[in-house]
Amino acid sequence: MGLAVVVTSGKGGVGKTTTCANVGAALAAGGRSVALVDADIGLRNLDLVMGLENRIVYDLVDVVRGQAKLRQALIRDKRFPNLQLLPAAQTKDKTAVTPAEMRELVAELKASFEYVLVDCPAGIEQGFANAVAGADQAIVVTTPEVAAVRDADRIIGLLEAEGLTEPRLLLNRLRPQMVRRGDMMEIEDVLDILAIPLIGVVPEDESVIVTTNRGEPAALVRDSRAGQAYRDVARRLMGEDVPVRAAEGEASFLGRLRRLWGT
Amino acid sequence: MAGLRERLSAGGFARPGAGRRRPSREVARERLRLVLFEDRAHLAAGLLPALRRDILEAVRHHLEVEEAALRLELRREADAVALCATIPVRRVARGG
Repeated sequence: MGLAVVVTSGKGGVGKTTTCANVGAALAAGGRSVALVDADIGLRNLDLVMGLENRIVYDLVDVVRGQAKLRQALIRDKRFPNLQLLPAAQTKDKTAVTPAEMRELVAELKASFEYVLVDCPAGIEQGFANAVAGADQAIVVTTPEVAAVRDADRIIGLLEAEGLTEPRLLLNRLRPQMVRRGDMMEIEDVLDILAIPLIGVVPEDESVIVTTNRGEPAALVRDSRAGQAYRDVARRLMGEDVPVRAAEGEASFLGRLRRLWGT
Repeated sequence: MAGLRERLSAGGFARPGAGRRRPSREVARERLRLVLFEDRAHLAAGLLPALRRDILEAVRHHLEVEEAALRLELRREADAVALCATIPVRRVARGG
């Protein structure tokens, strides 16, 4: 039985889809079987970020309505046979699926994959309720900006209400230089405010834009700093104890971070 | 307001960095702390009703108040969140 992890944030544009694609690719590169589920019905994007947009025949809504079998809708990644994507419907909206249907779908995926990563839409309405249904764990993505952190706090409360009481934080697009000159909140500030454990810190990195342009996750690029950070997140999801790299943040905080890890 | 006047006299534009007193990181942290306190307090269903009950419980030993008129709110002050209770007093009990 696999593990279902919902990737969520509240605020849009902080990197949920990029996180899903990269962590999924890194898990698959690590030999795990992974299903990526795009739960952002009506605003499908995970296929594009993965470079699989030309291969879609059926989508999530077709599966839920019984118009396609799950294995017909799953798109096998060209790089890893053990990485598959269930795309969102583009022409329907979030009300096309119910939380109960999503729970059933995720349970079916967990039966054949070690990891099921669900890309949650922005917002706190039905799309959120659908995406978290069936999840065993949650990753909350935020950037070190006031609006993103505020929304993350709200989402953490909503996840708790859904029984996901131990979400982990992915701090995305950290700019160490801005942190050094006191113009960006540092890792510890955000952790203090949100009070949940960290699963990773991803530095701002142009290579993410470049690789996404090409539909190739940065996690598969050896010398991408963000890619390295996403590979570390994947290893932590697999239960490994991986310390935060100096490049990810301020070296002087490493000791404290390791403690915050709770290991 | 002084901040606004400064901005207006500077041509209506905020000038990042100009005349700032402390790093924006600290400002962000402080503002978030306050706004999240309010968010959480407002969302915690039952917090204000429970406070209302307990405050009345404490007050009615000393004062006769108009319980139905009690107003309770969290108010954002300059650098803190204040719990403000307005309780109309009918009568002060004689000491003794």
